[in-house]
Amino acid sequence: MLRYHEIGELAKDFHGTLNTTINYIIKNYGKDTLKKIFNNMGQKVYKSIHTKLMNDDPSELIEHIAYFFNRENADFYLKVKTDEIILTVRKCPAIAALNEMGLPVSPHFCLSTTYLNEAICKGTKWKTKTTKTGAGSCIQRFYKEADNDTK
Amino acid sequence: MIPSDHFVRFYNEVFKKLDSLGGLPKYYLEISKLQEKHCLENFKKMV
Repeated sequence: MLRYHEIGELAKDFHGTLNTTINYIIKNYGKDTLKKIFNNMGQKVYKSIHTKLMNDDPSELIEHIAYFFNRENADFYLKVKTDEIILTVRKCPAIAALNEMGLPVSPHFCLSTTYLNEAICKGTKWKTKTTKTGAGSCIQRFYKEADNDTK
Repeated sequence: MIPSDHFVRFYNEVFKKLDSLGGLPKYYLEISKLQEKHCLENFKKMV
């Protein structure tokens, strides 16, 4: 069950503010500060997802991904196995929104995904790795610690 | 991706961190430039 389950209209211009905010924080405070913000986001805002992962339960993470990527009209494919979740994003809705607004995509924009996913998994048996596959596409992998990158 | 539904929750974390560093007013100015870009022309048309 999701902690947050919004309905109604989306305010996709948020992605533009996020893009500006990421640039601003890195320029003025550095990546460590940005990482701390996303760490709080991952472990406080998404506390229920994080807590469940601590208990080796990825159900809310899976539900969260499926619900919000559908809601944002992403082109994606989600594959769920016992010890692995693979999210293949063919067209990122956040980057698509930036393109539609005519905003240059920050070279650091995808840190919002990388840092957030890492924060959600921090201190759990689950690890994560995000691999960019193009402009606005990536593969986000969540896997159990024993199931390392050698697989 | 942070869902656009969660922008207020994201801002809250940004505000807390930047406030602790004494950097909130400058951040507001930066964000207001973006809002100006998107909103100012529309506001002018409404007058």
